[in-house]
Amino acid sequence: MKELIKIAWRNLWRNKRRTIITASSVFFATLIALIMRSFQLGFYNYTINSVIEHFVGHIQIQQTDYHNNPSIDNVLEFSPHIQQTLSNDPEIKFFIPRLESGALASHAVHSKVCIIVGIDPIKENEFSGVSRHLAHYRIDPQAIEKMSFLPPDLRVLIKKAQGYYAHKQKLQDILTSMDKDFGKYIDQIAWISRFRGQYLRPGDNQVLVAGGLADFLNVSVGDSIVLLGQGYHGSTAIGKYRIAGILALPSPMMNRTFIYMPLRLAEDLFSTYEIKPDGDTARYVSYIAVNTRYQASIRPRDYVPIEHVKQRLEKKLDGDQLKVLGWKQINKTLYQQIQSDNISGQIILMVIYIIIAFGVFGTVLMMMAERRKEFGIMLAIGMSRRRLKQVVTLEILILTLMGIIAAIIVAYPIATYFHYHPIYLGNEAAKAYEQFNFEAYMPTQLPDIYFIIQPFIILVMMMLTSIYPILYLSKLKVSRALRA
Amino acid sequence: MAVIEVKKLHKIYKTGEVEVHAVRGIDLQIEQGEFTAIVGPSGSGKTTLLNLIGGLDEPTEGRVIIDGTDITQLKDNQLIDFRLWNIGFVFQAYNLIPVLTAKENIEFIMHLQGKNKEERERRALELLQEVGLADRANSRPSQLSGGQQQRIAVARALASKPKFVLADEPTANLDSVATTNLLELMEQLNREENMTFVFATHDSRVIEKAHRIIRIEDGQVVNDEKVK
Ligand SMILES: Nc1ncnc2c1ncn2[C@@H]1O[C@H](COP(=O)(O)OP(=O)(O)OP(=O)(O)O)[C@@H](O)[C@H]1O
Ligand SMILES: [Mg+2]
Repeated sequence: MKELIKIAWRNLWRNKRRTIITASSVFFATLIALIMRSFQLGFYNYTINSVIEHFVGHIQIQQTDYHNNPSIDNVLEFSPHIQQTLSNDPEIKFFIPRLESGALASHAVHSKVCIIVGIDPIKENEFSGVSRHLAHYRIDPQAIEKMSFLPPDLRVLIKKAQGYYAHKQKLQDILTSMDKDFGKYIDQIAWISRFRGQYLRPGDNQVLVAGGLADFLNVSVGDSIVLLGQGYHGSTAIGKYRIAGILALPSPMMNRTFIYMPLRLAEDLFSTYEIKPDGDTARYVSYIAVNTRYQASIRPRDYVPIEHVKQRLEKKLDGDQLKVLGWKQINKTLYQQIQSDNISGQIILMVIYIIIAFGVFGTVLMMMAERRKEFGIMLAIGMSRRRLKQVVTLEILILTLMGIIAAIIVAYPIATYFHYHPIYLGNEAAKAYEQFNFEAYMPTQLPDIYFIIQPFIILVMMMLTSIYPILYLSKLKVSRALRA
Repeated sequence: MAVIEVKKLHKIYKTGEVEVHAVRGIDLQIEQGEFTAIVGPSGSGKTTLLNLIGGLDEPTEGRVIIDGTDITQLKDNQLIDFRLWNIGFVFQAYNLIPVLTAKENIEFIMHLQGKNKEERERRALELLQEVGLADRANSRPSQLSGGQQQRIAVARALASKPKFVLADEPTANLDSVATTNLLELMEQLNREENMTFVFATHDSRVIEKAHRIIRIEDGQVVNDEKVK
């Protein structure tokens, strides 16, 4: 074999230029494939991570009708049985109850429809990281007034960026995406626009209001708002609450409507509890979000175990008038969008692979044609057809591997870098992302199994081109080849 | 027993409608140690005959028996293996594997035979000495003259210790000095090692050196005489 590899290797370098060009085409195809895949998978995972892992949950337990009619009457008892079942399941990592309902929020002469989310402040924060969104910066006319250090054009421009910001990085990304020059003033801008607010504490009588809603109602931290709505079983829900903090939520829809309050406070507001005949209190929630110890992703090896947990819960909680839903059911659109994007991405890659395979095939054709006489001599002196085929197959293999390995070496650091330093997509793309309530960053997927799968597919496709030389060498007649 | 025995050999090429009867019933015996030239005008069937003897082509009719084995009965891969162990080939040109050095070319055939490295090296160096090219051991074919390439081809043909060597117009591309050198080499190998050579040629310098001359015309033997 060593001898055959030596011959194959040297044969490749008989036509240096052609070999380099062909290997380069394999290199670029693999590089494009890996980088593209890295961004695609990274994006899917980031999306799913933001939406599912940190908000919706892998699985939700709801009252039977809630999914179709999410009203305050279709609530579910957060019963000890459910809590125990969930706590005792070794594959469940985390679960939180939420109580959600619409209401009217008012302050002075302003009022607006809002969505109230009752949460367990501590557990919810561990789960969805609400406190990450707590506004620490606010760009408003008063703040802009004080930014006399800004050149006039930037001072005009910054008006477009009015609003709340949770992090300095986000503030910087937004501003510099409008004009790079903001980068020079970012520390001063941040200092002037700093803003105070507090996250909820469990026993709190306070609420968190989303930035857009707060602006509309013209309220800020320390002000009170009145919430009015319909409670459980036709009761009236009304209450007045102090604002502890403002949330800068990425989703414009959520940012215009959301109010978070501690679960107990929401229960009081909506009267979603009952004293049972035995004296215990039944507490009702809209749903329970559950995370398993697996990862939500579009890869079957990730979502299949989640499905298993879901099925098990269905069996165990059978008869409790409830429904167990997987994240793919809850966020059908998101899943389908990702799925179809994933498929079209793979089709594009396939097309690239096929084009490159034809390029390699062209090289193989030339290699065979110009060496006809040589093959004849080799067969004549006693080299078996099998070995001859091995040499040619090795040539294609080495050629392809050179391109593939080089591409992996180059793609690896790129995919790693952009995972830790994701690209900010700028304001335009941000709008599309924010409807799903996450920031418009585009992290890559860290190199893992896809760094093997894609090159492997390429390798297989390129090796298909060796079918031709194998057939050719099977049929080649020695006397004819010698006459050539 | 003859090393090469050819019985009622026919070869008909069919190209579409046209049939070319390139070999028409040749009977022939060549003994161990002969130094034989097959001569004849262009198109008379020399190459065809040599290819049939060497198992490079199948006869339409007749038998080719090499050292007792009827090679017309062998399957393709058996035939390749048979050639490897029994027959040495020297062609008109481009004999050598271009990516291997002179020494590697000689070793290659022994490699195919599965000989170990030590034996390969020893025999390759020995043969390089014999053909007078020990100093060019590491040259690629493209760095050698036509005459040098043919001498390496002879060395390679001998490396496998064949029963005989077939050479189809080995001197066709050589000048007179190189031709003389190559012939002297083959003659010497014939004399000293009793190696059997059969060559097809219409080069008068080659014919002069032959010990037996088989003249064919139109696919048939018209004259067969021992001259030395
Ligand atoms: N593959 C083939 N198909 C058809 N006809 C062929 C084929 N090979 C040889 N011939 C014909 O067979 C005849 C003998 O050819 P061959 O090559 O054996 O002659 P030759 O004596 O070697 O000639 P030269 O001295 O020119 O090499 C010629 O008429 C040739 O055209
Ligand atoms: Mg000829």
